[in-house]
Amino acid sequence: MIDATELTKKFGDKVAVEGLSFSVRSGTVTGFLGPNGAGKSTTMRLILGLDHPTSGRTMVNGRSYLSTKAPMHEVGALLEAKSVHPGRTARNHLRALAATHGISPKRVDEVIGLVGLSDVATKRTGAFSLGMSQRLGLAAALLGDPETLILDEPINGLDPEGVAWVRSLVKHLASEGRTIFISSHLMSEMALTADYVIIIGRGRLIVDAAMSDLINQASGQVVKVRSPDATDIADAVSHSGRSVTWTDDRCLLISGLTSEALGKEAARRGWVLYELTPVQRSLEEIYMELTDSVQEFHAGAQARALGPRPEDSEAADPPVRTDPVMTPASMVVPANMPPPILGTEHAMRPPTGLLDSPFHGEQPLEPRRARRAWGGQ
Amino acid sequence: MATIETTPTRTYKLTFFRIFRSEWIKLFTLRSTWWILALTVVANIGISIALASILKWVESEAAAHAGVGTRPGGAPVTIGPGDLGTLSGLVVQSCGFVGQLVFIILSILVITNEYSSGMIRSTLTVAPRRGRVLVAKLLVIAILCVLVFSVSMAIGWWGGYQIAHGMVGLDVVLTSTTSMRVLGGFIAEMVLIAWMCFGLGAWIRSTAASIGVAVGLLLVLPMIITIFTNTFANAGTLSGWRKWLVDGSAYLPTNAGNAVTADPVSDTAILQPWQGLVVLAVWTVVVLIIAGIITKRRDV
Ligand SMILES: Nc1ncnc2c1ncn2[C@@H]1O[C@H](COP(=O)(O)OP(=O)(O)OP(=O)(O)O)[C@@H](O)[C@H]1O
Ligand SMILES: [Mg+2]
Repeated sequence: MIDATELTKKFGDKVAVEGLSFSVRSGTVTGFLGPNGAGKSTTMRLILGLDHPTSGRTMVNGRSYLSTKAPMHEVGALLEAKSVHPGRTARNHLRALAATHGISPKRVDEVIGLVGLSDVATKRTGAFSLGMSQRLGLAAALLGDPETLILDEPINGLDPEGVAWVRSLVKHLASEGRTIFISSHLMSEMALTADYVIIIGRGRLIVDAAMSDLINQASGQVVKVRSPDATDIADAVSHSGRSVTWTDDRCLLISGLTSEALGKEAARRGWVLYELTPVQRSLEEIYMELTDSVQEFHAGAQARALGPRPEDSEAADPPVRTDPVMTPASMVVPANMPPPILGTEHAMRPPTGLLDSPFHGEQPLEPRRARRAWGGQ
Repeated sequence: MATIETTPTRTYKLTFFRIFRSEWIKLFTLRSTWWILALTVVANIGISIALASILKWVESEAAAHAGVGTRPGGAPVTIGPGDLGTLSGLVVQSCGFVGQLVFIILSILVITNEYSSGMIRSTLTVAPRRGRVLVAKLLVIAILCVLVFSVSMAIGWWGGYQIAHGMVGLDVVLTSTTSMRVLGGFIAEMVLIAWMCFGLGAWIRSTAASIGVAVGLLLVLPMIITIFTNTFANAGTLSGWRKWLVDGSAYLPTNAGNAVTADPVSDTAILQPWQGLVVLAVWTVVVLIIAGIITKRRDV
C-alpha cells in the first residue's frame, strides 16, 4: 500500500507536484496517468525518498520508506531514466543490488531468466537496447520479491510480447495481494491492465477512481439513437435541458441519459427506435478530455495542419470523441481550483438515478456547460 | 519470456555489511578498476626500483671520483652514511608519483560515476539511508588503498633492498622509527587524501569538476605556492602577507601530508609529522561532513 498526503514538490520556482493526496491499494494494479511533465516520475521519486518533498509525506505499507528494514522486499522500483552503470554487465549489476539484501546469485539468475535476458546477462549494459534496459530494470525491481512495485513507464520500448508479459505479470502479482503502481502513456494498455486510475495534471490530482467506474460513468451518460422520430426526441430532450447532437438526419447523440431511461421513455411516448446504443468510450478519450486543460506541451498547430488527428479519422462519431461535455462536470477540474476527488466509494453516481423521471430528474451535467457544448448543432 | 515463478524468501534484510559487499562488487565488476590498480602497483614498484638504482649509480660515481671534485664550499664530494635518506622514504616517494593521482581519481569516480550514470538512483532505492552507503564506500576505498600501497611498498622495498643493500648513503634499515613512521604515515596519508577526494566527489557530483577541484587543491596550489616561496626566498625577505602565505601553505592538505612522511624531519618545520597528520585529518573530516550533509539533503 502506498499513501501520499498533501505532497508538494517544488524545483526552484517550478511546482512539479502540488497538494497531491492519494492512496494505492494493495491487491490492485493502479495506473498513474498524466501528460508530460505532470509530475508522475517526481511523485514516484518522492515515494522512494530519492527526492525530498517540499511538504507533505509518503508512506509505503504504513511506514516511511527510509525506515524499512528490507527496502528491496518492501518496494521494487523501475525508474524512468536509465539507472545502471554502462560498464557493468547485467548480471553483475543485479548481483551488486542483490548483495545489499543477501539475495542469492541463484535468485539473480532466476530473475534474469524471468525477464528473458539470459542470453545477454554477461553483456555490458551500455550496449543494451531500450527494451533490454527496461527488462533489466524490471529484473532489478523483482529481485527482492517486493510487496509493492513502482514502475515508471515500464512498457516503454518493450516489444509486444514483453508488453503482454508485463500485463500478465502485474495482474498476477496484484492477485497475490501485492500493490502495483504503474505509470504509462499507453492508454489502451492501461485500460487492459489497471484496476484503478490516478490521473494528475500539472502536479494536481484530477481523478482517483476505479477504472470500471471511470469508464462507465463517462460512457453511460451518452446514448446514440437512430429513429424516424428523431425530431420529436430531440425536441423533448433539449426541452429537458439535456444536449443533443445530430450526426445525420435520423441519428442523435444524447448526453446525460442512459439507454434504459431513453428506451422506457420511447415506449411511453410511442417513438420508434431503430437503434439505441450506449456509447462506450475509451480510456484514451476520457483521459484526453480530463487532461485537455492541463496539457503543458501541446503538439503545435503545424501538426494539425498536416491532417486530421488520428482519433478523428478513425472515429465513427467524430463529435463524441473530444467534446469535453461528455465528462460529468464533477470530473473536470479547472486549473485554478482545488481538484475534486473521485473516490471510488462516493463520487460515481450511478446512472440509474435517471430512470424514474428521465426528463425531469437530477441532471448529472451542469446545464449551462452542456448547452454551450452541445447546442447549436 | 519465461512464465512467472518467484522464489519467495522472507529473510532478505539490509545490513551495513551487505551494503559494503555490494559496493565491493560494484568496484570490482568494472574492468577499469582492475587494470588501473594493476598499473598502479606496477608503476609504484617500478619507480621504487628505478630510483634505488639511480641512487646506487650516483653513489658509485661519487666514490669513483672521490677527492676529485669539490663542492662550492671547498669540501670534497663524499657521501656519508644516511646522506641519501632512508630506503623507506625513497619507496614512499616513488609510490606517491602515480599512486596518489590514481587514488585521487579513483575515489572521486567511485561516487561521481554513480551520479553520471544514474546508478545512484538504483543504489539509493535499495539502500535508502544515504549515510550508510557513503560510509560503506569509504570503507571500500580505505581497504583498497591499504591493500594497493602495502603490496606496492612491500615489493618496492624488497626490490630496492636487493639493489641498495650495500650502499653507504642509503639507510636500508626497515625497522627504524623513521622508517616505520614514513611507511605507516604514508598509508594513512593516502587513505585520508582518498577519503577527502571521495568527499569532494560526493559534494560536487560531476566527475570533471571534482577532479578539477581535487587536482587544483592537492597538486596545483601547493606547486604554485612553492614557486612563490622560492622567489621570495631568493629575494631574502619574508614579511607581512608573504610570510603569512608561505607559513599558511604548510596547512594545505598536500603539504600537511608531506610533513607526515618527512625524512628527515627538520626542527624548524612548521608542522611536525603528527601535526601534519592531524591537519590532513581535519581537512578530510570537514570535507566529509559537508559531503554527508549535501548527500542527505539534495535530491538525486
Ligand atoms: N530535477 C528537476 N529539476 C527541475 N525540474 C524538474 C526536475 N525533475 C522534474 N522537474 C520538473 O517537474 C515537472 C514534472 O516532471 P516529471 O518528470 O515528474 O513529469 P512526468 O509526469 O514524469 O512526465 P513524463 O510523462 O514526460 O515522464 C516537469 O515540469 C519537470 O520539468
Ligand atoms: Mg516521467
